Amino acid sequence: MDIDKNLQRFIDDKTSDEEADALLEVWITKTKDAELRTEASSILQKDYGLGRNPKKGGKLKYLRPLLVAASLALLFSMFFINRDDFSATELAAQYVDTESLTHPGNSKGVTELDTNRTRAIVAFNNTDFNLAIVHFNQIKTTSEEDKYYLGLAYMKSGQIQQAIDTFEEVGERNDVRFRQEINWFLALSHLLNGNTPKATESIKNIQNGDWKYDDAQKLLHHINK
Amino acid sequence: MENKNFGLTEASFAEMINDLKANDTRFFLQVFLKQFEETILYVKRECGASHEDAYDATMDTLLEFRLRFVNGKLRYGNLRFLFTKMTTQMYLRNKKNNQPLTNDITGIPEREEERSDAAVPEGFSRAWNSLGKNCKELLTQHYYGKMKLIEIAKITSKNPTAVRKQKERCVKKLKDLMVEII
Repeated sequence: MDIDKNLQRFIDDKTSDEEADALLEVWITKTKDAELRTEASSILQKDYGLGRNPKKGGKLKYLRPLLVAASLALLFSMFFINRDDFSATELAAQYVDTESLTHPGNSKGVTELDTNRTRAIVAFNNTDFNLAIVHFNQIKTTSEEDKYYLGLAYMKSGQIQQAIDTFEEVGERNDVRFRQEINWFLALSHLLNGNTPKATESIKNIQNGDWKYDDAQKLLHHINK
Repeated sequence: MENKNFGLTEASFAEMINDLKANDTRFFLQVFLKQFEETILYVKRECGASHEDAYDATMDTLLEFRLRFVNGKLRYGNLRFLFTKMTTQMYLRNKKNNQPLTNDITGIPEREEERSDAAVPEGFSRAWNSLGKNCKELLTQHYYGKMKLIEIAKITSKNPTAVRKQKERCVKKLKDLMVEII
């Protein structure tokens, strides 16, 4: 780990108590402010229906996402479940469109506090993927999780090559937490990018019992048709 | 008068400050989040701000208010007016990036001393997460709640020397954890 110069000063025995106190005050204030900001955002969303993104719609505002998701699922079922005359790319596009993605929020492993991360998560969960991309890219020290969700945001906003690059970057770090998800979303992204051999390669990395194994086999069937 | 202070009586205002100092933000959030949407609408209307910018400015003001409350720099008076006015100033400051808040006829004092924009070091965050609950509570009350050690001693029914020693032990523990981490 690169040692931050303030951190070095803080642990240095020669540093005066006053200076160490000042550093501690800044760090604790920032840490607690970030927690308060997250808590306030969460209450505003939950109790007041107020998010950082403008409200859309009136009485249907809470039902709208469910209605949209249900409609897409219905369309998906009607057009694809009983049909076999569509391409693997069309199927991949449907998977991407209908995949409902939610960021679970700051996880326990995230140690670097950054308001951009909070804003990125809020935007991501409001399906404002372009805004989420902006904020994810402004996080000073990105975690694997940030990169993974940045990749998803790129994919959902149609920036497929950036999605592939980001997923591959996460994949290269061999973080087991995201291995199964990366294989699946890389397969979809390669298909959408017209690169069937790479998509096949990613699908073959999805083992029996892995997440999305059955759907991956369906894709493979359509690729080999 | 209570209407000008988000429905708070002078006594409940004092209670809220005490809660904040002890790092209990529930009452504060309950009072101020009710005002949030109205303030966003005000900033959008008065400044032509986008929803996102108005939201950010209101949130920044909320945090600034907490800081000023615990520092004893905001008093019971006309908090509603101050909150909306400060939010518009915060919006302008955010827009112009780093432009300090100015004194004006609203009597809003200057912004607290600018804190460093540098991120919290990872080594601190990891050490903080590993620190025991009692130490975190004490350090939070002292550094975030701006409570003097003697005040902490009073509310915890301990003697001031014991609290001072405990604080020193907690800071040392934090340093030791950082050294282990880096």
